[in-house]
Amino acid sequence: MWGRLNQIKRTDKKIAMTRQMMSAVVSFLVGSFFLLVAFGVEDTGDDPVGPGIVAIAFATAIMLLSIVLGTSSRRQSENGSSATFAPVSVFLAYAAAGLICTFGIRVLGYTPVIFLALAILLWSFGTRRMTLLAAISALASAGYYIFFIRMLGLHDPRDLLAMVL
Amino acid sequence: MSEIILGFSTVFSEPLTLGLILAGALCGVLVGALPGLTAAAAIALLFPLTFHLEPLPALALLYVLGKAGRYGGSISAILFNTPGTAASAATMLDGYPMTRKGQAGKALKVSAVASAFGDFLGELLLIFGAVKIAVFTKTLGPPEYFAIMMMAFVVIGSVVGESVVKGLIATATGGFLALVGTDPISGYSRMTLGFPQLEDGFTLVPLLIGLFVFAEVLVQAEMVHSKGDEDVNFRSSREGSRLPMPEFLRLVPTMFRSSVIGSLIGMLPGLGSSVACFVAYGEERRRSKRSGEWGTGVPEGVAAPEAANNAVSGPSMIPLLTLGIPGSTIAAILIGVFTIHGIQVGPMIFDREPALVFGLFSAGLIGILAYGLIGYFGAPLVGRMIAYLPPRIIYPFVFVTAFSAVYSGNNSVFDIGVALIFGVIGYAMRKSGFPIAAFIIGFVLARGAEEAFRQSLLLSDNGFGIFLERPVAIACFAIAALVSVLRGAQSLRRTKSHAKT
Amino acid sequence: MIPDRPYSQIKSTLLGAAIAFAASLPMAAPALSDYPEKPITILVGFAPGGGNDIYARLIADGLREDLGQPVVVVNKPGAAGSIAAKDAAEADGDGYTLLVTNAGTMISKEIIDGDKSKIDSEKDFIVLGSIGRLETAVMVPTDSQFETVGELIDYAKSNPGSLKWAHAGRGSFQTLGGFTLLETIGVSAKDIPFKGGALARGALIAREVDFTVAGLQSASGYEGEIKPLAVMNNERDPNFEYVQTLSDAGLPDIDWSGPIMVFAPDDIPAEIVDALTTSIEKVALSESYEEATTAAGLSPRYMSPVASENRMHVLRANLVGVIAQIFKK
Repeated sequence: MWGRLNQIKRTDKKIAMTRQMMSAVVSFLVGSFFLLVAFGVEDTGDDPVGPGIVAIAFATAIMLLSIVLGTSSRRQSENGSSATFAPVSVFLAYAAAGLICTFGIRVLGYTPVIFLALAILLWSFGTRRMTLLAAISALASAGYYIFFIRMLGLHDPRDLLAMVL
Repeated sequence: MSEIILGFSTVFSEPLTLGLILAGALCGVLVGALPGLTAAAAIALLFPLTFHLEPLPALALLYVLGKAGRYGGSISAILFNTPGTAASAATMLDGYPMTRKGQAGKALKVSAVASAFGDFLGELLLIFGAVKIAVFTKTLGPPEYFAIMMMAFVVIGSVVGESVVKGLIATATGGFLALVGTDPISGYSRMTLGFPQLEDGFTLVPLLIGLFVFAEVLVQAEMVHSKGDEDVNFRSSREGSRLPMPEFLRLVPTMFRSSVIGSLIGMLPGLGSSVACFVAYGEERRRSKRSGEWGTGVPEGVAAPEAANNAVSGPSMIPLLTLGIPGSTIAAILIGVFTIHGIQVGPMIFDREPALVFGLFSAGLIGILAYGLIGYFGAPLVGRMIAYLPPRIIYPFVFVTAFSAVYSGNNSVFDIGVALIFGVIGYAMRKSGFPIAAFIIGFVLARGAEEAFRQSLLLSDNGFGIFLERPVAIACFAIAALVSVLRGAQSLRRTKSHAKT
Repeated sequence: MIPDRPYSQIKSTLLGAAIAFAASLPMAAPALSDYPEKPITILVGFAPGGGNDIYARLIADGLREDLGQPVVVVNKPGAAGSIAAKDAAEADGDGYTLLVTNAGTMISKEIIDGDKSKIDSEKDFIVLGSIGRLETAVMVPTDSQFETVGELIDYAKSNPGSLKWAHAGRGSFQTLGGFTLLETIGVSAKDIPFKGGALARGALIAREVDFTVAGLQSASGYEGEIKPLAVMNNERDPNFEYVQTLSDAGLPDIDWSGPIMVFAPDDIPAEIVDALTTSIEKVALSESYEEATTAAGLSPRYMSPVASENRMHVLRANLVGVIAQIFKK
């Protein structure tokens, strides 16, 4: 779907409208999810306001405002919101780097995670020469290791380098 | 007066302290300037190192690092559209557009001057007014805090952005998420969806890094893909690096007013520089005759938040020292340094440890001078160097630096996940025109406001009456009402003049 | 060296290759005789600079000298310390991951969470000793009409519900002590919760409330503003010799001090337990440790593993009742 939006770059009024409609629908859904969560808060009944009321108020406000947004969507798209989206590959690279950072750090340790995430992102940003890519990532991850782990004393959950050295 | 002389003589008699002040200024600027790295993260990491230092050098290092970091954060906000600290979230609004216009050098100079200016005024206020101000701030209770936060919210209102409805949705979303975590009143955890990591609520740093830094990485990736490598670089022209005297003089009133705002906010425990920068930006924008141009790269839009967020630094030591209430992560760590060296923070500290306290304040003044000079002359150089590095190299590094900063905060993998998810949310918000600044304002103010509101009602014997019994609260509500009326009149006039043309 | 927890199970499909790589590394079997042969990590469930953290750093300093290996304090704040506790409970029981925490706080959190608790402090840990304690005290503003805790109680008895007290949140260990005290004496007062001890103290200084029940050390530095009336323990605190105990004031003796304990995962070999216990005892009783803790306004109190375990049982018994009352359901 992003890809298609990417192709239709003309900022048609139509597209602007559907995009505004989409924002409204998403906001409404977010609001209703919040409301559901807020209703799950148990009232302990020992203070006049209670732990859930303000949250319910915020959630309701989001829902009402999104209705306003949806019904008043005659206007054109605002400045600052361009009609293009990044291609899927960008999100895939982001997700891959993110997964490595979150789940990899306890398994691989800090430095390999930096190396892999950098390599993936450099590739995604258009550095395609493998030797260059590997050289930058290796040098940089060594630099990050020295700066964060050795100099600043960041705790590495699995300090492979220290084990090897 | 004699105390501050004592302070300076203490600092100058210790070469180590002097050296650490300069190191703190340099590190703070560098750490702040690196996109994705925050001063708070650096201080948390450095804390163990200060454990073995004497109290004054240890405190001076962290104090100056915090000040310089608040300024340094503006460098990455201006150059990369990624705030280095929560305090520079408002600086991006006009700072980055200036970079896009080729005025990066000028923006960096404005921010260095404004930061040092604000910081200096704040520090003077601290040195000469601390004891008197402390007498006032210690009388404030929940009803006053609630009123103050409501006032801040109203004043900030004008930052909300182009679409009022979208701004309000973003604010309410931020406000809602701020309430996740253990309910401060009942002690039950609420809306955590079963994650123990959420029991203390969302942490500001991962949220901020996600919404601003990771989202910016996605935006840049998209630009690289759509445009290739060519025009994404904004070379700062020679003209755009200059800050001529007349233009500087025009900024002085803005810097002065914003410093006053920042100092006032700093005196109040629990608000901090992330609120100050938005209040100053909002207020200056409201005053400006060219308020329509704000957001497109006006120097006032950099000067106001930068003066304000650094002006917070000095006065925020007042609630810290006299009430032990930290306004920020940095402040919390400073308390730790005092305690670990056996110095009890509290009103007595001014009598018991004058050499230390005023030595620290003098260190602050020296630090301001140091980072101001480093920033004014160094930052534009960095800016010009950065321009030769293509974004396709820079932004992958921004990503891994931000990852390191988030992880170092709490050693928490969960925080990394939060930041990454908010990166996507931030990207979607930018694409659909929901202002991220409004979200942050909602997030920062809602938690404290709800707490203070409910505490007030618990304290009160006659319901809402408690807010009307407190002069300070009444004054704040009155100011909020006045600002709303003024703003309403202003927008009415604008619609009328629009209708005529 | 592979984390044998659900962590790797869930993600194994995603990171199969990575795990295989890690698995191929030489497994470092714990060689007991030369413990410790690498740096030791002490987990702390609170931010740097707080009471728990300072105790941890001071003991870490001593252990480093005694054991000859670096001892690193790692802060993992969150959920009243239970995130760090869970990590420590799940760590390899090789003596290289320890936990320093206020046992009172840990047990309170565990009981409040009930079935949802991430840890079971009785089963998951072995206590290696106590290295200090944080006292709970009843405090009033210096210009308060109450000179002693007895006067405060008498007033509360004759004017039920008219006094207000601030505390650091209903789940906090010291707060639960406050509730227990009021309950034992049979008086009622209105509680106003704050987020953390500093804000509760602020409310006391602003005269928003009549008294607080909170950590005694939060009064140091505030002598001009705050007057501690009584410490909830059977002996006085060396840093606050002038503060009465409850029994000094003729009230029921309630011991609500929170011992700071060093824990290790329960699957740790006996030899390492011995090595650590000996070392902790030596450090905690040393002169330099006493000097450093006293300087930080804290008190060094050593308790052997057995005494610590007994203290934990008492704490648990005391906490179950009061928590059931505050957190009804």
